[in-house]
Amino acid sequence: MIANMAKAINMALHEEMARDERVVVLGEDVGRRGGVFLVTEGLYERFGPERVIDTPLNEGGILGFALGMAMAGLKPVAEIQFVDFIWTGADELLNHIAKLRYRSGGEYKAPLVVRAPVGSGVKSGLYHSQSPEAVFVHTPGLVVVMPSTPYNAKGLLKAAIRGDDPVVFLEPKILYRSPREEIPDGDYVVEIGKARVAREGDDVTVVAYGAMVHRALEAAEKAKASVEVVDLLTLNPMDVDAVLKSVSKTGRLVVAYDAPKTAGLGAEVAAVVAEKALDKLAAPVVRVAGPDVPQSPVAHDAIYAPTVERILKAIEKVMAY
Amino acid sequence: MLETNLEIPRQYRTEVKQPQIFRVLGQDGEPNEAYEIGYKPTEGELAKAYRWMVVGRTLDKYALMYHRMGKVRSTYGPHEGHEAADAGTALALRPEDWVAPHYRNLTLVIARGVPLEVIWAKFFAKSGDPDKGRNLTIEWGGFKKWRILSIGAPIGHQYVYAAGFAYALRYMKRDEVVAAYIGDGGTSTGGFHAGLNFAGVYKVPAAFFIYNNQYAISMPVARQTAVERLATKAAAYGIEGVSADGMDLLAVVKTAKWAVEKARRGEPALVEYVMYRFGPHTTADDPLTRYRDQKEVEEWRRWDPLARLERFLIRSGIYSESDVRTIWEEAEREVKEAAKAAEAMPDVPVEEAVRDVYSFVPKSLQEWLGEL
Repeated sequence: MIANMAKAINMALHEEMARDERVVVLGEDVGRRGGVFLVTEGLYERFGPERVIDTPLNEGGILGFALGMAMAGLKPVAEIQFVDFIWTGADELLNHIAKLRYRSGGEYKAPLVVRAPVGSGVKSGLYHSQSPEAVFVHTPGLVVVMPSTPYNAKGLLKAAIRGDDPVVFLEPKILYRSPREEIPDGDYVVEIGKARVAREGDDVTVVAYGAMVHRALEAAEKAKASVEVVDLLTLNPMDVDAVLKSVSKTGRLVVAYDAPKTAGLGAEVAAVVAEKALDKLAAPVVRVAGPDVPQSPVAHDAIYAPTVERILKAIEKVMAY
Repeated sequence: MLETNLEIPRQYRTEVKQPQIFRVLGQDGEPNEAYEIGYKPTEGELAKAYRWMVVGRTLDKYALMYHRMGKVRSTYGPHEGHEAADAGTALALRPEDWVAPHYRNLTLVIARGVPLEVIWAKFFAKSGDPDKGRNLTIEWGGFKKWRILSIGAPIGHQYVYAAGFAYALRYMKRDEVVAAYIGDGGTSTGGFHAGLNFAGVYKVPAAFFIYNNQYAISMPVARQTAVERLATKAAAYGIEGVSADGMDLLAVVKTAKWAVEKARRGEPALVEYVMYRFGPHTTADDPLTRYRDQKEVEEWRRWDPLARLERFLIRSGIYSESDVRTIWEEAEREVKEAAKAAEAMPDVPVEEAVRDVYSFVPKSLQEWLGEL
């Protein structure tokens, strides 16, 4: 069927809950309301209030409660309504969920999924637009995933639920309704930890993830050079081999990400390439990102994240070096 | 200007009733009329609890000593004064129940059956440590075998995951409960409030215990809360609360049994144990020169949990003076022998540094290991 990302994630939740009764969903408004983006629609009616749990308004509570459930053997999928609200639960996520397996010598584990909408571009202001993925990537113990299309959103979420590690599953909210694409009938998963080459090219590599993949693809279409677009999909552990393989072929690297520029994912990608493939580079790496201001001012929301034009300029810059 | 009466009539205002502190044993070990209330432990249970407490105090004494000698690998948190609360709450639980400890539950860990050499292995960060030498002495990370839930140092979170764990137990139709522990300082945290709130809303099978030992490092309990009794906080979450003497084994057993069996019926409950931490917060603390005076400590000494229970046991004819001496001597021998056994264990292999971060070892960690 043809589906958007919200629907694809909804399908993944329906299918996984039907497949495994240990899977439970919890969060604010996820039950009767079906989630503010309607991502959990229909789950409450189908699986009931014991499995689709409307929670008190407390992110630390949601994450800590999910941790307890996971320790006991359930597979909780916790929704944080907007990732911007996750900080009152940061202790649970960064200190406890991330470290549980390690601090317990492998005796306990927290195979849970934390889903949250991220990113700018829908005029949501400073507290509904953030992209804090670098914080999660910098926290050992967390797997961090950001899908870019309905197909990989569904497959990655199913893999996350079936996996044995805590996964922070970041959903670019600008992609919830568009684009739409064909989702195959029947069960499938998309492997976590693998990047995909979204477009092949020979002259320059653009590494992107989430919503920026689509802008990179658009820029690639318009560019005079032959552009390869690598979609990371999993941000941690990052598919370093895929990045190096592409850069070794093209010799040029642009990284595009919807987040404050400094110490963001672009820094990590650039550093990995500098460490392992500097001799393959024909030009300095260029990062195209948001400015280091609180993400994202309503008046300037449209220009916060890398635009197609800025990515195009970066491509031209590395080609002209 | 006209005078305005700002008074809101009483029937529209909340009222907080401060509970009395439930106590059974006097300083001389003589039980009062409260002895007849609630659960009465058997002689065998009392003997078991007393033994746990003696071993707990002995182990605490040697842990401090070995810390001074540099053998205990991280900071240590003295436990003296907490023995009855640990032993009494442990006695109220079934073996299949779970505990979500806070960081100062040494006797509880012993009561759950963790062998002394395993505890020493943890203190020495040796290979027999289930935590693989990763945590501080008083962070109980990997003691799942003994149904001890994993904790980290940041205060308060154990109340939340205890509630989630309890929810899962009920979901899986298991007749087990979770006992969650926190200190008086912990009652100021978001975790405390979220945990009790979730527990109250979902009516999970969990019993919550507060160890009000008067200090959170150097901060007196009056700096944690403006209420007289921490047990009153239960009311805000729609659950029942009780205050009891946490250095009186009988008071602890009776109130803990009440809370645990209530929890088993799906009615979470809260018990505040009023007690004292005789020693410093940790080996890095110095209370007597910084924030409390010797007189206060001496005053609380009169309520020492071990001395009171001992007097009660002798008074009741359960033990003679010489039985008591033998138990202390045995404890001392066992603790020292266990330390010796743990010291002989191999160190934690370096490969363990990169294991258990995930269910797999990522390439970046394999590379790090290769750099060593």
